[in-house]
Amino acid sequence: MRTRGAILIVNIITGLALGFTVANIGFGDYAELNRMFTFQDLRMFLSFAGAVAIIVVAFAVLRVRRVPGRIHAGVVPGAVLFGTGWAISGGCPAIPIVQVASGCMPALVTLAGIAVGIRLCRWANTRYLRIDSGSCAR
Amino acid sequence: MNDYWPWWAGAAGLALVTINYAIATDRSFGVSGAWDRVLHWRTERRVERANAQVTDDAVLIEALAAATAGPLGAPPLTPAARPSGSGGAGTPGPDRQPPAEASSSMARLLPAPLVSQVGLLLSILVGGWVAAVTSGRFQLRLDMGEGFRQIVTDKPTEMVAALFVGGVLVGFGTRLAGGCSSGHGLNGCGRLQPVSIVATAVFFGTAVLVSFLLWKVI
Amino acid sequence: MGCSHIQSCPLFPLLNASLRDWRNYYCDSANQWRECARYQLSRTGQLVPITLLPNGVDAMHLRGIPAADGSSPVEPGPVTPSGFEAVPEPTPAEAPPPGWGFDPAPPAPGPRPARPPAKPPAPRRYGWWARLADWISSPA
Repeated sequence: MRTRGAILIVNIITGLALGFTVANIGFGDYAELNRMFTFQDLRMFLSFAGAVAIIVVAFAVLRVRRVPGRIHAGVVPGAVLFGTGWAISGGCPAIPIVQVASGCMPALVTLAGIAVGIRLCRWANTRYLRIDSGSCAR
Repeated sequence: MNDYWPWWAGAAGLALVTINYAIATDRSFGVSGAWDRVLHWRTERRVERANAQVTDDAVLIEALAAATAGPLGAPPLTPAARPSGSGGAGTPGPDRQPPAEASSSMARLLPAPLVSQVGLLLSILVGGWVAAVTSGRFQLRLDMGEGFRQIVTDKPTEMVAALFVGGVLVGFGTRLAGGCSSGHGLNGCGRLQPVSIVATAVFFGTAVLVSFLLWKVI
Repeated sequence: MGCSHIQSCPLFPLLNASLRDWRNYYCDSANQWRECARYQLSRTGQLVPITLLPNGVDAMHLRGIPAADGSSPVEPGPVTPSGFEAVPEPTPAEAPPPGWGFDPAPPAPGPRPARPPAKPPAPRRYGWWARLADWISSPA
C-alpha cells in the first residue's frame, strides 16, 4: 500500500530531479528553445524524443497501466494555444519555475500569466465549455 | 554556449524521472495538472477532506445501499437493516468477496494528495536553482536573455506583455488539452496514449510554426 | 452504450461489486449516465470527491457525518428524494437522552449496554506531530 508520505517524497524527488534535468538540458534558455523549434539545433529535441523512446520501451516492459482519457474536443485547440504560448514565452508550465530559479525575474510574469490562464480555463470550462475529458479521476 | 548536457544525458535524465515516478506511485505526473490543483486549492482541499472520510469502502457501500431507497425506485430498505451493519446491508445476496480488490482499485483511482503537488512544484524550483548554481549559470537579471531580445522584442514593456500573453496561452491551452509537455509529452506518449500523441504532435507542430514565424518574419 | 467514465470512476468498482441497481440505472444506461452527478461535475474540470453519489447526494451526509466544512462539494440539486430521512441518525449525544433524570434506577452498567460513553470519539485530539505521522502513514 502506498502511503501519502511515500507519494509526497516521490513527488519531491521527482521535482528536484526534473528541475535539475530540465535546467541542465537548457529548456530554460529561450535562444536554445527557439533553435530547437526551428531545427537549427537538434540536441534538445533529441533529449525529448530520446526520453520518450526510452520511456515507451520501459513502460512496455514494465506493463505500466494507462490512464483513462480520450481525444476530446479540447485537445487540439488546447494544444494549438499551448504551442503558440510556448513559442512566444518559452515556457511550458515547468520551465518558468526553472527560469526563476536561475535568477531570471521576468519569468515571474510568465508564471502569473500561466496562473491566470489556468484559472480562466477552469472558469470557462465550468461556465461554457463543459468538456468531457473522459474521466472522473483526472 | 555548450555547457548544457549532451542529448543522451538529457534523454536519460528525463526518462529516469518519469519511469521512477510511474513505478513508485503507479500514477503519472503532470506539471500543469499540479498547477491546476494548487491554484484551485480551496476546492481541492474540500474534495480531499471528503475523500478522507471514506476510510474503507464498506462505508460507501453502506451509504449507497441507504441511498438506493429513493431515486432508483427500488423498494426502500428497512431502517433496521442499516445501523452499522458492517457494510453489506444492501441488495439481497451481494457478493461480499470483492472489497479487497475493490478498495485497492479505488485507491488507485484517487488523485495524489494536494500537498505532494505543492511539493512537486517547489522542488522543481529547488532543483532548477541547484542546477543553475552548480553550473555557474545563476545570474539575477531583468531580461530574458539575448535570444529573446533578438527574436521577440527588446523593449521591456513589450517583453512583459509577450510573456504574460504567452503565459496565459500556455495556462489555458495546457488545461484545455489536459496536459503539458510532461503530462502528455513524457508520461502520456510513454504510455502510447492516443490523446497524448495527438496533443504532443499538435503543440510541438504549432510551436515549430510559431517559432519559424518569430524567427523569419518578425 | 454506457458511461464513458467507467474505467476511471473510483465508485464504479463498488457499484459493480454489490449494487447492481445503481449500475443499471446510471452506468450501463443508454443516456442516463449523462445525468450522473459525478459525470456532470467532472465536466467542470474539477476533481470529483469519492463521496459524491451519482444522484448528487453526498454519501457522508447520509450517514450523519457532517462534511468537512459543513457544505457538500456540489449543490445537491433537486435530487434528494424522500426515503433518506426515515433512516434514524445516530444520536448526537450532546444532550442527554430524554428521561435521563427520571430514571428510577441508578445507571447500572447492565441494562444500558448500547449507550455510548458521553461523547463519540469523533474529534480525537492529537498533537500536530501525531497528526502528521497519521497523515504520512495513511494510504494515498
